[in-house]
Amino acid sequence: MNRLFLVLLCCLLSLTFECVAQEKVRQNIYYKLDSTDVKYTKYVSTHTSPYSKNKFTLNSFGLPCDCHIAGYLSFSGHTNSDVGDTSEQAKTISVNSYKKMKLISFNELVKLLREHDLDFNKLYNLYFVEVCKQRKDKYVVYNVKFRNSFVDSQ
Amino acid sequence: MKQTNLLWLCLALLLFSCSKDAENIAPAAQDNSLISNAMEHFNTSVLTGTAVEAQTQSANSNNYRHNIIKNAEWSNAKTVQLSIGEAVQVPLSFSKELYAQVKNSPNKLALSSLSYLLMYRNTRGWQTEVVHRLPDAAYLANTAINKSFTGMVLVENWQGNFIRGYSYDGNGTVKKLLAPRVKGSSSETQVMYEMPSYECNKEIDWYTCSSWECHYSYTETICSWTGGESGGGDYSGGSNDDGGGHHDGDYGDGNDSGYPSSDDYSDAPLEPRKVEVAVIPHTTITYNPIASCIYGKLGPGNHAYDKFLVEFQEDSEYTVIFKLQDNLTDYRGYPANGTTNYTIGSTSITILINSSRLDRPSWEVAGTFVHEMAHAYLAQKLVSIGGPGNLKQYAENTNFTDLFDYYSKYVKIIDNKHVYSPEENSSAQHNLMADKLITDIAIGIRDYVEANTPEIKNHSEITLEQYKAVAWNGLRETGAYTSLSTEEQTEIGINTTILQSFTVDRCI
Ligand SMILES: [Zn+2]
Repeated sequence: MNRLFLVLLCCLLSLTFECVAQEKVRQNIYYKLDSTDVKYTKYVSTHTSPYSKNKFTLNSFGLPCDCHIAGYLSFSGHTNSDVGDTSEQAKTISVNSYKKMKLISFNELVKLLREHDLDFNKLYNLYFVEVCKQRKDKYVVYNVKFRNSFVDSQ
Repeated sequence: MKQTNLLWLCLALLLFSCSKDAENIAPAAQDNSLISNAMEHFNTSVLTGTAVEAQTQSANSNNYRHNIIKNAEWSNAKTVQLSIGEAVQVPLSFSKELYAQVKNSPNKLALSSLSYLLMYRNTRGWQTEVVHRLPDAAYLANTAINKSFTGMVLVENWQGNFIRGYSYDGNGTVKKLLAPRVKGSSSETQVMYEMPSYECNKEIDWYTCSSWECHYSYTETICSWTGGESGGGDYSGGSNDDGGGHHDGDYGDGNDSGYPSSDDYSDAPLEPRKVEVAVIPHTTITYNPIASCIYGKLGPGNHAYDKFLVEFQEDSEYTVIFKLQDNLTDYRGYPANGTTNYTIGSTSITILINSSRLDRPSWEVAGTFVHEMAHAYLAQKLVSIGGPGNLKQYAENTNFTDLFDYYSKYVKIIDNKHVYSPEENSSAQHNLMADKLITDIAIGIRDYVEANTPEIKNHSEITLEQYKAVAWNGLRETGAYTSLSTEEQTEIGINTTILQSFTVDRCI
């Protein structure tokens, strides 16, 4: 009886390890929002989920770009776990933490988006970094996903 | 080898198992009395099962088609002239309709429109046949008035037992057929595949259909004789056991035998009725869990269906088929989420959905379906008047005013000789859609989302604006979109992300 239990436990453990191993680690990338560089639109709001009635936040960004037929690149992150595909809550970080970040340029970001398009969110964990309005020595980090694929032909 | 011998033995037994029709031969009668005599024989002998009917091979009990209750519609009976004399042709209806998928054709044909009851007398008395005429794709595509029949004819008795069958190809060759078998259900099917004198390459896929979708039911496999004309007799059977009966090895073909010739069946003045269900999902859709889930929520009751596809329902002349395709591209070779394809002169419109892009939020994929439905709506109008070149003649008709305006504006040449490029069609149609149909597209997407997650209905923060934002997908290369300010354009993006944060991505 005990032996059977051990065998089952081993199977279960090996399966668990396999699952963990299969989950790919997404690479973190950071892009600093700077309206002198790209005149972006920001929409930050709090809503109530129609399912659980829980409150959730939505951070939505539009970055104008000639590269896209829509005229802009769309990014957003929300915390509504009722619908899935959630992002981390926005957080404030110190200058020191900011300085450790390896930022990518807008052109580099566009290049990655173009290259991976639909797979971008599976491969990368994107953060937008913005100088805190209230305290200039702090930065706000928004975890977002790419929302408007380059394919628009239908 | 043993199995083959056994088969021949069975066939030989079948040959002798048929007995003489119990009815006496009635004297020659006029047309009307021919019909009433036939009906009397039918009611008193065939329906009661007392008439011993012709057969060469017994019915396959697994064949669902044989188990459907048939009804002869005598009020619509008529007399027809066959090579053996006058006969009575009676339309049939079925307790449950089956649809035959025509190979290499988008059409499904209703069994009731393919089948009729044929009754005639010969020296052995009344003969009763159920004839199924299954045209092929070439026959359906041929618009000539005097086209000759190509396809298959299966002749069965009232119980469904096989009497004879023919296949007719385009070059005038007629091949004799063996009884259809339900694919995979009978060991006999395997034997037939091994028989060198037959090729078993004919199949009929049967479907059952509702007003919105068809489901595959089963397949019948049919073998044809390849061993020359005389060989057919080996498996043919007579209908009688009087010794001098119809088992002379000629399969009942030809005037001398007292049985109709293959020409009699191919000449029957019968036009198959195309499927009554004019909106058809291809099996690529029905077999794909994501696509079939989304498709299932875009049926009757969804605004896009009611507005864009209802015309297909009212006029069964047009068929719209939904199909998945990998790595779909548009006319420029760019990846496309969907395309709508039609040919002027044809009555079917195919909506292709890119299976490589089902990986998007389901409401976005639903948006692609709805967008293509709007194209199909316009395509159906264009096809009905013979193409955009004829729009000028219909400019006063309110159904065509918008199309005329947009083709005049974006194509400029409205004339019959002009060949409309995909680019011109795309430009005229997308501009029309952006200006006139975007709200209908948005409501179609909203109806999908609300069908998928009813909790979102009437939520104060979700309005038609969010659905309209999604409806812009595929409509950005238009005057309506480019004339928007950068702020208005980014607002569309923000609205889409609001909807995204409220909506369950997958189709439930
Ligand atoms: Zn389109």
